[in-house]
Amino acid sequence: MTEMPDVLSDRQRLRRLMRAFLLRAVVTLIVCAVLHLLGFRKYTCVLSGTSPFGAIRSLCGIVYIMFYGLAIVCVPVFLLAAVLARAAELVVSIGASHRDAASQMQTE
Amino acid sequence: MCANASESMAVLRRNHPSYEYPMKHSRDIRSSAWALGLLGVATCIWIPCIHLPFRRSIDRYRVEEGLSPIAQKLSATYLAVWEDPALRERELADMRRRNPEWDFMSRTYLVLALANMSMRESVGRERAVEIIDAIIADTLDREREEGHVHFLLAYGHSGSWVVDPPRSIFVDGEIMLMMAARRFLEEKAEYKADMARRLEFMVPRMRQSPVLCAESYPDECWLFCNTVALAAIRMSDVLDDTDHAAFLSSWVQTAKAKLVETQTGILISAFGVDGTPSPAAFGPEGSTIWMSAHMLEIVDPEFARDQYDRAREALGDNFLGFGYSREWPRGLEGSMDIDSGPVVPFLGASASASGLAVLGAAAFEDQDCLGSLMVSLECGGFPSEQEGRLRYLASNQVGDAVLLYAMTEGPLWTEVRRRMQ
Repeated sequence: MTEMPDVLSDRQRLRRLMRAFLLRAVVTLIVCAVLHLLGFRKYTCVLSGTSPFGAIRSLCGIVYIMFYGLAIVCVPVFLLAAVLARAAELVVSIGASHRDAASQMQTE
Repeated sequence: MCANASESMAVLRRNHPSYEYPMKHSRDIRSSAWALGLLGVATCIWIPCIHLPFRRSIDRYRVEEGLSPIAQKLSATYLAVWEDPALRERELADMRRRNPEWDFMSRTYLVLALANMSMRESVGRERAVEIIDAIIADTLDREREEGHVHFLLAYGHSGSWVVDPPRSIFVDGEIMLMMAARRFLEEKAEYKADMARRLEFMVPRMRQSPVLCAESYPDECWLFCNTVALAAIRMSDVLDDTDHAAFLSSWVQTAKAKLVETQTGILISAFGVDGTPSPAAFGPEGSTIWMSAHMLEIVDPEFARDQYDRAREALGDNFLGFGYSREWPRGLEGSMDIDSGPVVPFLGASASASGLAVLGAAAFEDQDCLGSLMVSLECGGFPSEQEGRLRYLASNQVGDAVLLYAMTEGPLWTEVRRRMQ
């Protein structure tokens, strides 16, 4: 029997997921860093209820707060998920190599 | 083999277009299950720890003697504002544009902080007195030139005041408090006379109300302003050997009988001269009660403690290690205004109520509450430090002045209590 080419093994799935999680974490951090460098942090006074800045700068403050929130909540989750995916991939590959060794012994 | 398999698949797909779907679905479901499982486990690990990067030792904010590192940096920012006339004018104009009340209140909190810092011997008495005098002189100039209602919001400039002559206890009370704090550092005859004059306005006006409270705005008595006035009256008694003990005692008895919200036992925030709850703030509010409880500490310590404990129960909350204060108790929600600022949906958290809760927790030595509020401050206050000067960008001058006062508070009230005895 030949394995169907568009069917992924768990190992491949986990590797892809790990990359996807890392990519999301990195992209979020890069966006945060860009917003920070653009000076959007100073517009976060919108949180106090009134802002001395205009509507557009207040909006910049809101965007900064949203990405800051994402960086705090989601980035560590993505990074942890990537680590877990890598660990799971190792477990799966160890299990697969054990199974291969066992089936090879049976064949012999 | 692979090429054959691919060809077989292509033939299958051509002849039976539906063939690939079960397989693709199965693949998607398995990948999604892995993704969801991994994200779920990661979330379960991270969420309980999310507050940890923001948790600092409480000594960074508040110490028994001297000045904490954060208070030093915050004070450096605001001392620079008052020591540099150009910077001061720019900052105050900015504050007035946003809210004239905040301009005024930031002065009061900074004076209180300076008095405490001087008593902690972290700022020289001469320097503290010099800056306090500059603040009070500027405030009196503005009151004289622009009118008594200069520091009120627009609706305070019109409308009919119930008690004549039209005066705001918000303005009189806080100016008196500033002068009294200054006089605890060093006597000044000019302020003694001004305090006596304001006392003559305030107390008779308060007595005219069945709830012993005077107007901050036309037919609007605010608890915040009236408790500040009570503290100023107590300090005046200590400084000038006057005696308003009976008045202060009857104020507390009246408040217990007429101004307490029945569900929570907390004093309501705003009411008419006759004591009818004001639609603007008909119930207890976080942006009022923490400060009022602190002011009441030198009027009736037991009542103050009771109010703090009730406020802590009804308004103090914690979400994933982040402390905050609700603006309103559950079931008594009002509408957002300039005092509450934006209120976070579902949690009911308010930035201004939480800022004042820091003052309450510091004054009543509630270390747990203070610690969790500081976690929120580090996370959501957006601290910015430059050349040893600290600002919380999400805050404003009055917010930072409240925090500075909370971090330095203690010696002035202790001295008032000592001299009361």
